[in-house]
Amino acid sequence: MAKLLERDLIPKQNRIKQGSTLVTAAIYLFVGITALITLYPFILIFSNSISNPIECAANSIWLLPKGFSLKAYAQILNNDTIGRTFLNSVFYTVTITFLSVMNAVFAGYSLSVSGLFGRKYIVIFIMIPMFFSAGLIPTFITISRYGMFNTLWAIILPQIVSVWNIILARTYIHGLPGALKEAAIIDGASDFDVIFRIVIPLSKPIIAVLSLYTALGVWNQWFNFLVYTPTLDDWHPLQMFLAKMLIWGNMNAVLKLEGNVDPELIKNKLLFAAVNSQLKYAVIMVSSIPIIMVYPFVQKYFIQGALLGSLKE
Amino acid sequence: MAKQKSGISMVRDSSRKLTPLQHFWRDKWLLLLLLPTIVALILFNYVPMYGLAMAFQNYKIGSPIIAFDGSVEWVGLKHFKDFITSIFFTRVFGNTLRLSFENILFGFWVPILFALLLNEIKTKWYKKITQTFVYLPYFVSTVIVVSILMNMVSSEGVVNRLIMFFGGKSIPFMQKAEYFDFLYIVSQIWQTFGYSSIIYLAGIASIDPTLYEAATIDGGHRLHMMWHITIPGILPTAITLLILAIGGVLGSNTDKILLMYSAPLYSKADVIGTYVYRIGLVNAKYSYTAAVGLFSNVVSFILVFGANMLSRKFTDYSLW
Repeated sequence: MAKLLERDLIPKQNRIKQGSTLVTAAIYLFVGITALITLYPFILIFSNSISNPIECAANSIWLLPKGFSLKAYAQILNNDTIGRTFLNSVFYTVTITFLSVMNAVFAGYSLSVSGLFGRKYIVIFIMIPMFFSAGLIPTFITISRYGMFNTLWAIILPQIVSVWNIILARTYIHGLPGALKEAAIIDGASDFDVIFRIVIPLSKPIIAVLSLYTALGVWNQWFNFLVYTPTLDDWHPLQMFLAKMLIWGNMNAVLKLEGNVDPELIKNKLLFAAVNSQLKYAVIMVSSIPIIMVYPFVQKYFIQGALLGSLKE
Repeated sequence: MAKQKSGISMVRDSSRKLTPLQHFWRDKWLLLLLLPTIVALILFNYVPMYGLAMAFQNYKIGSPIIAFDGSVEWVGLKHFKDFITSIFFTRVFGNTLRLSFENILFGFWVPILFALLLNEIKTKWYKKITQTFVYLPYFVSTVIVVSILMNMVSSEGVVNRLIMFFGGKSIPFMQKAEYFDFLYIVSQIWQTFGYSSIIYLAGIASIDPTLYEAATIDGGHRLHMMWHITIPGILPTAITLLILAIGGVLGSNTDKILLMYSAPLYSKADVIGTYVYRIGLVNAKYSYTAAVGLFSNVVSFILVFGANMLSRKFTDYSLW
C-alpha cells in the first residue's frame, strides 16, 4: 500500500512514460482473449451438455447452449455404473490421500529431528527411488508375484508412500520454531505428543497443500488401474470409466443403457439417439464438477503448491 | 510412553556418547514412524530393482527372478542388442526426443510471456479472473483433456466445422500421423501454460520494487523496465527450469499418448513409455521390455543428474 502511494507522488510527466493507454488496453485485451480461449473448450462442453439434445446431436453448437434440457444428466443420475465408479473414485481419493499425507507428516517429523539414528542413510534410502525407478515391467511383475494383481492392494499400497510428500513435509516441519518442541519435551511430552499437539496443528498449511495435490492426482489417475486391475471393472474409478466410454468408445457396453431408460425416450427413437450423443458431454461435466466446485476455494493452496516445487533445501 | 524423552535435540546432542544400540533404542519411536515408508519402498521400489535381473534372461511368469540351477535362462545383453539394432530404437527414442524438444521450443516461453503480460495488469479483479481461467485446465484429468481434444477435432467437431465453413475439406486429425505432434503440443501448452506462469509471477513479485521506482524517476518506460528489470529478474528461474526440462527429455506424457494414439499413429507417437506398455504388458514380452525400460531409465538418470549438477553450478537451485 505504501508503495502505491509513493508511486502516486511521482510527477505526472514521468508516469505518462510508463506506457501509453493504448498499449495497456492492448495488453488487457490480449490477456482477456487468451483466458477466454483457454476456457472455450469447457464452455463448449457445458453448452452441449445442457442444450436441447437434437441441437447437440446436429453439432450446431458453437459457444452458447441452444434450447435447454437436462435429459442427459437425468440419464447419468439413473445410471448405476456411473454412480458406482464415482463412489469408487471418492473412496480411492479419500483413502490414499489420508494415508499418504499422514505418513508424510510422521516420516517428515522423524526425519526433521537432528541426531536421529542413521538419519543420513535413511535419507539416501528414501531419495534413491526419486531418481531411479525399476520401470513399469519389473514393478508390474513384482506386484503380480505378491499376488496383488487385479486387487485393490496393487492400487492403494504403493501410493501410501510418496517420497515427494515426505520431503516437503520434512522441510516444512524442520522450519517450525524449535523452541516450542523443546519446551514441550522438557515438560515431559513424548514424540507422539509433540506430533499431535504441536507439529500437526502448526503444519496445517503444508498438510492442506499436500492433501490437495495428492487428492487431485488420485482423482485423475487411470493408468495404474489399466495396468494393475484391468478386469476389476466394479472397482474402476471414474477416470477409467471415462476412458472406456469416451476414448475407447464402447459407450453402450459400458453404460448398459437398456436397463435404465426413461420411458419417454423409448417411444421417441430420434430423441433417444440424440440424448445418447449428448451423454458424453454430460459425463465430462459430472466428472469435472467436484474439481470445478472446489477449485476457487482452494486455488491459493494450489498456488502455494506450485511454488513449493521450487522449495530448496 | 510419556516417560521416554526422545525426539529432542538437547538429548540428541549427547548422541556421541551412546553406543549404536543405545542410540537405536533411544530413537525407537521415531524409527517406528519411518517403518511404513521403509517397508513400502522396499516392497514397491527396491524389490522391483532386484527384478531388473529379468532384463538379462528370458523371464517366464512363475519362474524365480534369480537362480543358477538352470531354471532361469540367462541371455546376457541379448535384449539390449535386439532393441538397439531394431527399427524401434530410433523410432521410440526419436519420437520421445522430438516431442520433448518441440514441447520446450513451442511451450517453454509461453508461460514467461503470459506472466510478463499479466504483470502489466493492475486491475485486481481482472487479473484474478483471468488467472482462474488459465489455471483451470491444469486440474482436469488427462482422460478429459484427450476426450475434449478428440471431440473438438472429430469430423463433426468445431474445428472441422470451421474448416468446412470456410470451404475447406474435413481433416481426419486423429487418424493421420502428421497431425499428432501439433495436437499433442497444443493440448500440452493449453493444459500447462497458465499453471507454469505461477512460478514466474512469483519471481516477478519478488523483484525489489525500488528498482522500478528508480527506473520510473529516470524516465524509463514499460518496455525498458520489462527488458532491464523484469526479465533479468526472472532469468535465473527460467534458466533453471530450462535445464531441468532438458534433463527430463526422456520422460514424455505416456498417459496422454496412450489415450491419444492408435495403430496408424505409432510411427509418430510411439514413445518409450507407450512402447514398453504395448510390447511388455499387451504382448507379454517382459524381459525384452524390462531391458528397454532399464536402458532408458539409465540414460534418463544420467540426464537428470547431469542437469541438476549444471543447475546447481550455474544457478543456486536444484531438485535436491
